[in-house]
Amino acid sequence: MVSVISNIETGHDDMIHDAQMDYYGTRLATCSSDRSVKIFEVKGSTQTLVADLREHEGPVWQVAWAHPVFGNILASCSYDRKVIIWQEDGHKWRKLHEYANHDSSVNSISWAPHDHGMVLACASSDGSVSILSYVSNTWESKKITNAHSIGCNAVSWAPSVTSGSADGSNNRPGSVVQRLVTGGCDTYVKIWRLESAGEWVEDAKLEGHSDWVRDVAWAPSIGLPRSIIASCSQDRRVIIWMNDSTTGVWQHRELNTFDDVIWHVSWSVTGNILAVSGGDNKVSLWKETLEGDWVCLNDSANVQNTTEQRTL
Amino acid sequence: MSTMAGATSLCQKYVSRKIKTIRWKPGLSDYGRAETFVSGSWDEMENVLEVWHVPEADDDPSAIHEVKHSDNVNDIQYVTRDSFATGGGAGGVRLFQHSSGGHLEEKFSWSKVHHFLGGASPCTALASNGDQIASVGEDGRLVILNPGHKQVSRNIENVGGCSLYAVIYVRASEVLTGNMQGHLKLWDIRSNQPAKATLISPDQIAVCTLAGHPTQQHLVAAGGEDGALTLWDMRSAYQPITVIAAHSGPITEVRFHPSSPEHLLTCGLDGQILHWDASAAGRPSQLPFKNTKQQSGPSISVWLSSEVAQGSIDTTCIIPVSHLPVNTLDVEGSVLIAGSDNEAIYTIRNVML
Amino acid sequence: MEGDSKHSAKTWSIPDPTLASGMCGTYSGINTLMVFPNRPVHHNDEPHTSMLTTAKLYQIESFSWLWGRHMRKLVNEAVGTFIGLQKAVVDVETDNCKLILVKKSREYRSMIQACYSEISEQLQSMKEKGQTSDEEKELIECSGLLSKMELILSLFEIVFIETKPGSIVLSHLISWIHQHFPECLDRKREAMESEHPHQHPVYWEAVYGLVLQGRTEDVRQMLASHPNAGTDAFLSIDELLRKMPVYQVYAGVSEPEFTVRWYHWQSECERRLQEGHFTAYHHLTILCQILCGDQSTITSLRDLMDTWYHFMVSTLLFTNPTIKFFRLHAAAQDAISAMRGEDMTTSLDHVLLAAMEADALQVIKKCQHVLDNNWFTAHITDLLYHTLSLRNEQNSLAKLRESLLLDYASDLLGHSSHWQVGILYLDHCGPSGIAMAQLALHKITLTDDSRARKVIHMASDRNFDAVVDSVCKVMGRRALSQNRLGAAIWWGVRSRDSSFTSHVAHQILHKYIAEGRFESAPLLDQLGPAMLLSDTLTFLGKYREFHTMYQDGNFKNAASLLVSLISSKLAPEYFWPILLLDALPLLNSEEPFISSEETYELMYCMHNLSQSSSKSTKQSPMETEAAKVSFLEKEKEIRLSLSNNLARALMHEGTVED
Repeated sequence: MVSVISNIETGHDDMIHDAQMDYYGTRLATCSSDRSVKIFEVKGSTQTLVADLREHEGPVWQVAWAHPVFGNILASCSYDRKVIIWQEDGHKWRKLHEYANHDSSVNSISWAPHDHGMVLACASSDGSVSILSYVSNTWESKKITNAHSIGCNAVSWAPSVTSGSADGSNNRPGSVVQRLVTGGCDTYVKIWRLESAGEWVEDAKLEGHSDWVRDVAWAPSIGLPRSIIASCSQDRRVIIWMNDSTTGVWQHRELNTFDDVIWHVSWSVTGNILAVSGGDNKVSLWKETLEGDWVCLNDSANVQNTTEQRTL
Repeated sequence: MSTMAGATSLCQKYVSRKIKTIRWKPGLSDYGRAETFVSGSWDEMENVLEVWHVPEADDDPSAIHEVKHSDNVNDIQYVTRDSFATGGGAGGVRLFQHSSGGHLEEKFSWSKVHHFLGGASPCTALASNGDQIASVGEDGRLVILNPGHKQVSRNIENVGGCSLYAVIYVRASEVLTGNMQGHLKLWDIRSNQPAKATLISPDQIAVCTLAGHPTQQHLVAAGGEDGALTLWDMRSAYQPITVIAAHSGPITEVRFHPSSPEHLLTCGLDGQILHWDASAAGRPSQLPFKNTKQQSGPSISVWLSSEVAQGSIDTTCIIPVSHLPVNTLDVEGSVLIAGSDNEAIYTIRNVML
Repeated sequence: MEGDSKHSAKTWSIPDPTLASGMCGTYSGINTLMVFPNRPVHHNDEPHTSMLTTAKLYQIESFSWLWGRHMRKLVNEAVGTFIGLQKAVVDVETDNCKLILVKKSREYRSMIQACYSEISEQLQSMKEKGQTSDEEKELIECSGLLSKMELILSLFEIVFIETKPGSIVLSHLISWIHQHFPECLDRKREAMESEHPHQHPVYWEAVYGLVLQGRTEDVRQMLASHPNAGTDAFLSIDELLRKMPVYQVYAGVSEPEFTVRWYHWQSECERRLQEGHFTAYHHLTILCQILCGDQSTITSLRDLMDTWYHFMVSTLLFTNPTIKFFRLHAAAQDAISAMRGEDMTTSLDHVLLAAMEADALQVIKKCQHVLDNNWFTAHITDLLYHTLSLRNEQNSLAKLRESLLLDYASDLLGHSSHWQVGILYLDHCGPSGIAMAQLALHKITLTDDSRARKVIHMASDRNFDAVVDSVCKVMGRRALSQNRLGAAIWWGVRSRDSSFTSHVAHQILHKYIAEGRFESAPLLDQLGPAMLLSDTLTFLGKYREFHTMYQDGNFKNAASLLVSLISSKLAPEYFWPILLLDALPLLNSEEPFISSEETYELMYCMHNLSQSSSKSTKQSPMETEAAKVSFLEKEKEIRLSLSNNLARALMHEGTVED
């Protein structure tokens, strides 16, 4: 059974494009076509607006919370080609850094796992991906130019691979490979790897979609020696890409072909469920069975037709 | 004290709430059987205070009454025989009264007694001398409250904002606090300065809980985050009489038995309740057990004896080890009560056997 | 269950028209989904303003009957049994293992029963108070669920844990029926307590009900109360009841021997029936027909047996008492068609039928399909897994068990206060469990120090060092944002985070410059090896040491420590003026505490400082205008003292050398 635990009036004057709970699920950040970013304190079913940040000059596409070991830090990206990093300082939110080195809309942002430091990847319609990192009190940036022709729509970091080693210890700093995945208008999903020399190189180019790739999401590591990525596309399909580290080859399996364009995929925190949403007014939840098939658990939809099935 | 009748018995009642703190209601006389206690929950959407009745037979306690408590009930301390104060997770202190029929009534409240920049700070522990209430919190403040007065009577701020975790009255006007860095400070609350020099535990192990000896006020037991119990003689020592490792995780509560203080009880995050029996120390072993009516003489010194100082003391775990933390315990006569994160209230009868 | 496998997916709806034009769902907590209206936009085009006026967001969480106040007991009690079981099967030799499994299964059952009876009491008291509410409805639903789970588990225990395939099962099934269908005993009591039992309307119903459960002693008691008990017919039926053979596994009677006895006894029943012993008493005739296993008589009494499985067991008792386990399925099918026909079956019937077919996987699957959480399925699968391991059968259940436990644990982790129990289950789920436990412990909201301490304790118990570090770092950050520098540095030291502790140490130094007092002096004095975490922290600790030495009157050592602090460049530049001012009283003392060489060092430092301060750039080490003024005021004095001290020191050193 599912219940709505709270509904939140965001007060945005236009469409919401993204909503993200902070690491612990106590604060909510939203962004909208009305160019604002809002932060709410959420406690049970009540919420209070704590900040209304208006520095962007265009629709704000995405917001992303940094890991709390860095303090309260939020990033936002916008059609105005800018990425802004916000910081809470003495209970006031202020702009910590602004990055304006893209030639077109910045569509997607993603923070690296915190053991890599405070690092943010940004994907832009100009086809490039920027990686911003905070090193000894300054922001440095690197750029992967021409990552996707026509434009880059989504970016997501690989989890820190060492987490979840069977002996429970995961203190092997230095040996961690940094990787991220991007999806673009060129129909490709691409994996990028940080070389020891400090340059980002293409690790794999995954072909499977036949239209723009809308979203990519790297699944949290759940202790098995394999990587899983979900991607969705205008071609109405969701693809699960899987790489067991023995062969190093990315296998792909189509999750489903939907009735409409799919534009968002989101993994649960424990990595076992994928939420898929698209133009069909549904959010469906998918889980891998023991046989390796993906099955739909339920969808929360706006159709007025509820069937209760808890009688034994 | 109970005689040797009956073996130790254990009731484990699941109450569907994590119990953070549990206290016996003081009996009408010192010799009556304790039969009522209160418990406070934590980590719930809706926390509650509950009043329980303990039957004489080996049965589970039964709930008499419950009232909502909007935040975690971090501590409960009786001020009089039928009124007690609660310290809340949102920094408030409230005063409740047992009315007829076992019901609870909120009599008074001080909100946000503890706070730090931008918000409320949890109140972590309370103490009372029967007159005033001393409250400590994560904001590092020691606050003295007088029931009936809205105004805070005294507010002693700790530089650096290190969380205070424990407080007890050593005398009517002296309060001992313990903090996250392992510092014990003795305050004379008539003045604003620490009355005695700071006592420091060497390894910065947080002091999670304190207990005063019921008759020898200078004797104090402290439970540490490392699971060790330390005993202090406040008259002289700048270092503990003894440190005894016991629990394999932070100690959550320490109590001397109120009428047989050569017995001490502790519980901890490791899910154990330990019974420390020092009665064999510093006393001829063939002394008959009957001789326990008035123990003011010999029993005082047991904790200061060389046996105890060398750490040779009997400890036994008196419950099957819980897989989750035991947060709190209280003991009165021969009955011990304890509350745990496994949502159980333990009632252990004839605990001294 | 309504829709069988026709609906593989369940749909829930949110009645909000704004969502009709498209919505987006994103995970926001361990089990929380956030949903808001959204429509795809081509990022490359400036989007047109939409029609939306207010944008609402929904937070959605799965809610289960298990979270109800009364049912929560099951969560906490079961985890103890579960962990006990995992430990016991490792420690104990195989012979005793089966006993342990049965014992654990009974523990689960008894907690379900306890929960059931508590809810029944609650319902009773609600009825007495005349309250009707949603809560009551929910409780009724829960109690129904509990009694069904207990029914399934006890059959499961008989079929999968206690008996071996191919053995005789009826005695177990009889006691299963005894437990779950005690109504005939109620009827008996009702009738017997009345003034004239034999005239009571339920007297004969009770007699039939009892005999159909094989409760012959009860039947004999009832018949003895009949005024005609002394007649031949009554004495005859009493003898038959008394002599009815009962098969028991450990009774020392072999199966063939039992069969012979049974055959003799039943022919005797038939003979007496034929010979018309009971013709005078219609009721006794029916009774004897039951004993003879007359199918049509038993079927005609089916209303006394609520369910097909009761009917099946009663029928078997008199028609095939030595039925083997593998024949049960056919008997079950017969019973179902005799009772109502297949179309009337519920999901409970399907589960029980699957159990009688010894198809454990079906039992688990069907339960999983109708229950909205994995409490029941995870625990029975675990029991079954250990049972099969015991028999050294190829254990295909390992993966299923693990995945059900993971799902159950993840339900618990998503609940606001069951996270600790969730972690306990993950300890028994292999590498995936460890990984999930780490992810989850990272995510536990650190509401206060006490919750943080619990997370740290759980993490360090499991050697999750990264979790411990990250919790300490987050707590340090938070303390810093609350301006609690002492607490911040304490957490920083614990997490061994050098850049963070440096940052806090700088803040403490700045505060010292501004206020002339130390935050958490005692902490700084006791840093020990933690001092080496960062240069700034080392400096801070050493500088506190200087203060202590100075206060103790240990001027000689204080002076050389101070000079080494200045010359080692350990001190941040902004702090140099403070150090030089600190040196002033030592320079002015009669006895030279600072040697000539050390004085040169100080002079060199002084030189650098005045040069940079005269530049008056933004990078000036002078923190504030006030500090600068106070230093400039004293600058001459310091220079003078330096040269005086140099002279004194040189003289003194000369004297010593002589």
